[in-house]
Amino acid sequence: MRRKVRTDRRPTLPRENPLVFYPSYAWQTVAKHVRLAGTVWRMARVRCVLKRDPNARSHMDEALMPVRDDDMDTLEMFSVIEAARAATVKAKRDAVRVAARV
Amino acid sequence: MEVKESVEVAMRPATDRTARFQLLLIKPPHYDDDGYVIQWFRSAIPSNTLAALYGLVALVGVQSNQFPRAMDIARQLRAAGIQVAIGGSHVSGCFSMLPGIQPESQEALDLGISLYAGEATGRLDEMLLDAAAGALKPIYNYMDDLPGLEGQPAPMLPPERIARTGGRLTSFDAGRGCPFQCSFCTIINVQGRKSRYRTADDVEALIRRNLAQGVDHFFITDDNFARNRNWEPIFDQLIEMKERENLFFRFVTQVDTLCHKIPNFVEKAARAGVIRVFIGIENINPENLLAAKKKQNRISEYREMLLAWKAVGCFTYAGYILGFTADTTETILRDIKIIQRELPLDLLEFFFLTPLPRSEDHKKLYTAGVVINPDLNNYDLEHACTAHPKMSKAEWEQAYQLAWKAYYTPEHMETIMRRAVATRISPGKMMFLLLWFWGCVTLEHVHPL
Repeated sequence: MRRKVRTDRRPTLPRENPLVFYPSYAWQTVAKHVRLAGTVWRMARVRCVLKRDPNARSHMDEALMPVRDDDMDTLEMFSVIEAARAATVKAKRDAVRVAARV
Repeated sequence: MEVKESVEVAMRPATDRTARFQLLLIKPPHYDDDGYVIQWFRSAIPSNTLAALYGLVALVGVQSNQFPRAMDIARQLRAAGIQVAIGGSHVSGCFSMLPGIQPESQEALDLGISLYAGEATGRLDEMLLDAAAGALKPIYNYMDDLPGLEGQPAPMLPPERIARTGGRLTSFDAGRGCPFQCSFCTIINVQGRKSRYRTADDVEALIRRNLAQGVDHFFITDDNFARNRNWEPIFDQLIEMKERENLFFRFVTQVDTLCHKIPNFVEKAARAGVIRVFIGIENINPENLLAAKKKQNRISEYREMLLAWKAVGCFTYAGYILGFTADTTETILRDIKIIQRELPLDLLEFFFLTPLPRSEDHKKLYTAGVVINPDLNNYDLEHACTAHPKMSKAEWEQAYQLAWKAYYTPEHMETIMRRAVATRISPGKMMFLLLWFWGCVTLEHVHPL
């Protein structure tokens, strides 16, 4: 968590009144901890679910799939962006050249 | 606090007969948008500059965004008649890339502050002798003479300093220099493009000294350890220490997107104890990568490279730059969705494309007379510092905020934890890292790094 020192302010900016600075700093600190606690609780629940799930280790999704020959034809990363399509064509051409050399 | 204590000691009157010559090191932070110094109860990582120079003096390792804070500290010292020097990448890069003396450097010289450009490794004594004689030169410029690192003193931090970091993590540079030519990069213009490296024996000695003081977690600060020409002997020696002597230590390191093409690199990294890797993916649009001269980044290799790290159970962090010429808010958000779905990345960190003084991008804008943000404090990769061809400043800033929100959704953080379990990574550790990144940006409005 961040430390904020009232007197450690950029010289071009005025020093804040302690009656304004400290209540605001205290409120910000409390509000941050409340939000943090909420997120920690939510993620800790996910962690517990994963720990109890016997199939968690076999989770598979598109990102974890091994690289396949048709990745460049099926993944959006290679098809949505114009420059990516051109790079894909070049990568395929290079692969053919390398294969021919071997 | 650290700075204040240092200043108080330095301001003891020179006439005090009990006073002895002291060298104090201050690594300055920078200011947030409200003008407050950014400091933490526990930092994420120690400064590698302090690791290299602990126990010596001056405002060290000063980056562009830390220069204003460094000057504010230096002014107080100069007012008390104390000799001050500022070194680090800003001073070094400006001497390396720009003509003449820049205004902020001139202001420092006018205040009697010495500027140190280049690396102090193996030659700090010259400046110390000058300081002891009260005759610091205005400028020490070693930019044309980058020193070798073989046999040089190893960077060491004492345990009480390391205890002030979140993960009891220390740092060292196993090498300096990177062969690539990315136009936004500053490292190549400060540390050069030729690989200079420590010997495997030096690295082993450094690890053993740290283990003896109870420290086993290291951040290897090489900008690109995959291009350290001595990576293999270093890894081999560390593997031997681990596997023959059963010693325990872990590393965080930085690599490039072609590291998996280096035979045995990823496998040996994991065996040597690398558990987390930072990778400069930067973007998934080849047009943007080409514009930044990041030719080594081929999007067709991203999945293979990331899966290679996942196969050995490593956490993957990637840097992602927002604001290349082809970027708009819509394309940025679209690309983040693609990354979430198709790339096995754990943590993604966003940066504004910033013409950092000492980069090729900055030099081009400077030479063309383009208006760039005059406040160096804003060159922290969290601010728009120049105009974008397609987005207004407000749109660009909004795109930056939206990018963080779009990536760190509760749903995607859950997916990352599921992927962690599937790749034999602790979901608890992943949860901690996700909370760190989410919290820094959402709660503190400060970049996690």
